[in-house]
Amino acid sequence: MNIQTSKGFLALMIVASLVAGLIGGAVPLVYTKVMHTPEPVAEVVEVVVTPEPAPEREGTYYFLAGNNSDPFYVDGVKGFTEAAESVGMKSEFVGPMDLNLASQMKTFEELVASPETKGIFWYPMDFNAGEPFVKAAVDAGIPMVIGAADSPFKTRNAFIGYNNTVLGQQAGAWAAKLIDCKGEVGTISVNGPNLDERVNGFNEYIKSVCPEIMLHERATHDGSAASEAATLEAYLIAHPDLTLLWWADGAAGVQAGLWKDKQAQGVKTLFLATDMPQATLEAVRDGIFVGTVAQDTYTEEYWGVLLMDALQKGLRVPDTLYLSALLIDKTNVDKFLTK
Amino acid sequence: MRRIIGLVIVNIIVIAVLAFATKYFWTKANLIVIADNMMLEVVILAGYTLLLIGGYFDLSVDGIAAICGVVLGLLINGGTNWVTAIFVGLALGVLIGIFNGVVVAKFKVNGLIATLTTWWICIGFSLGMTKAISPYNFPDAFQVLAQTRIFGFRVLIIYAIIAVVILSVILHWTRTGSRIYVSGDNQQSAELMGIDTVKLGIILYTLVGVLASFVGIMMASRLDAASPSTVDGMTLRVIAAIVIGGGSLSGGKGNIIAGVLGLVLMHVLSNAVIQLGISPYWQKAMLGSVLLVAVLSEKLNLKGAFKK
Repeated sequence: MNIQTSKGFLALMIVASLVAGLIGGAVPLVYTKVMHTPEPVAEVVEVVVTPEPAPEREGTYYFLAGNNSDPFYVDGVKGFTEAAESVGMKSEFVGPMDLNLASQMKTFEELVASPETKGIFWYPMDFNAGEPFVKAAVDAGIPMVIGAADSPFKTRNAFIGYNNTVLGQQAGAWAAKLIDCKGEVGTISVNGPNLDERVNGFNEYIKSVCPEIMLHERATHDGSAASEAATLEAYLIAHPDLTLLWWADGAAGVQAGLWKDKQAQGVKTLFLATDMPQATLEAVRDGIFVGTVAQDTYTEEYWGVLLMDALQKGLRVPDTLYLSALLIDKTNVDKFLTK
Repeated sequence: MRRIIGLVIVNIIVIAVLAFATKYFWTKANLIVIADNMMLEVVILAGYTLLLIGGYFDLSVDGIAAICGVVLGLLINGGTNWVTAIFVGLALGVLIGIFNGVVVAKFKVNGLIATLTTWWICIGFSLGMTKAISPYNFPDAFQVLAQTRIFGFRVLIIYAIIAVVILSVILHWTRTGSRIYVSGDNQQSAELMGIDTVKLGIILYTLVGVLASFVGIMMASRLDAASPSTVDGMTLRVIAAIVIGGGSLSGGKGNIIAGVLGLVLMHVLSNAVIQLGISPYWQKAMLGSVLLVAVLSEKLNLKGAFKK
């Protein structure tokens, strides 16, 4: 192989990628074992997965998302994969590793054009940009189910997920209760339509129920751990009397160590997280975070596949299925932690 | 020198405006937060300036930092002593740096595409090995490396000062530094002068590789978690800072101190959007606009002033 030319280099890269793929495939997948419930808090019901996968059928169900390196997706991908196995379909988690809309749209277009595609479960980054592909998929007879945040166009076959406004309201109600409707409240998240809805729901609820609470403008980070840490620290300085901070996306767990350090320095602000990666749950257990407003993405994606499968078989499915957030604090966190 | 003075003036003006316009910008706590969050980028910037002056380019820094941090984290969680894990992380950074250097400097593959692929491979391995779940919960002794405070500042400031001083001395007061400038300005002339540009290129990429691995390890220590997306976007911020500081993307020009001043400006502005409570939808527009004005004003107005 002549490495001194671009072709030689390309060949080297292909070989390196193949080696990477082989090694990656050999690394055991470690998932957080989480029990799931359709009810907020209260009793936990474990979803029982069919022990023997069904006979394999032709085609693949795709889970198309964005910022796919976020640990938020781990539970959801597990639910998606297990549901697909239970109906004998292949499944694949696709989309950009960052918040790259163009890349998500390119993948969307490719999925719609591929005969392998038997269903698309889409986490939207931009409703307008994705609408032509949603329509094209439906026109081509590809079951099209949306998760995370529903499109205003309603041209998809079905939606399952969280009403982000309601999730924000649930977080707002909990926050108001935690601080007895007094003090200052702030929010941090990445940008995105679901996060906008969520934070708006949170702020509107607090404004309507606790008008005396001072609400601060949301701070945004770019999704990297370094940016999150810098944003968190700067936000605390800008608002030194903050009573409660709601971290509205699922990345709070990586900052648990930093927050513990802040608490050791005397910071009294309550930290309310979102979602339930293991690190977040452990921070709740250890009293570093006061609680977390969690989406049960395992259930969302599991049922997303079953909706696509029902559509694939020509059955009618509900237009919209809303799930309820789980409110996890020290009193019930053990039910969700991996033993 | 003119560039440094210009950037000092721009920084002073921006800082003065923010000190008057916001309640908490000009406080010791906030200045410490800005410094703490900037220092690891300063470490990279110091090495990257040499690379850029030498006429090379490296997009893989974020990836090297990620994979070295992740490998260290997985090793520690797997029971390896943290000191050994650090050495493995640093060695990995050295190896990736050498690989980049050999591919670009020796085999003359375009630096942009070569290091882009290295970046993807590193990020891919980081995500593949962790399935996006950051290793965390490291020994206290390891966390001390980045969390110890000196006069209120994280110890990272010491690492940054050491990197800036050593690499500035090498760049401005040694023959190696002169060779880097000459090589970046005109590689053919440098070779005619007897400079081994291949060896120099490999050394520069290795330097950036080891600094990137250091950053990944220190981020893991600082956050007690080794995220596969630990410093996404850092490379472009560092390159932007060096260019704001007068560095040239085609090599031969640049200065570490001026680059650091460019980085200070960027971090001050990032902090300002939070202090000012600017809507998230407008933050990037505000950051870009102020940086553009800063660069243009330095270029246009000060030029005349210093000619007199």
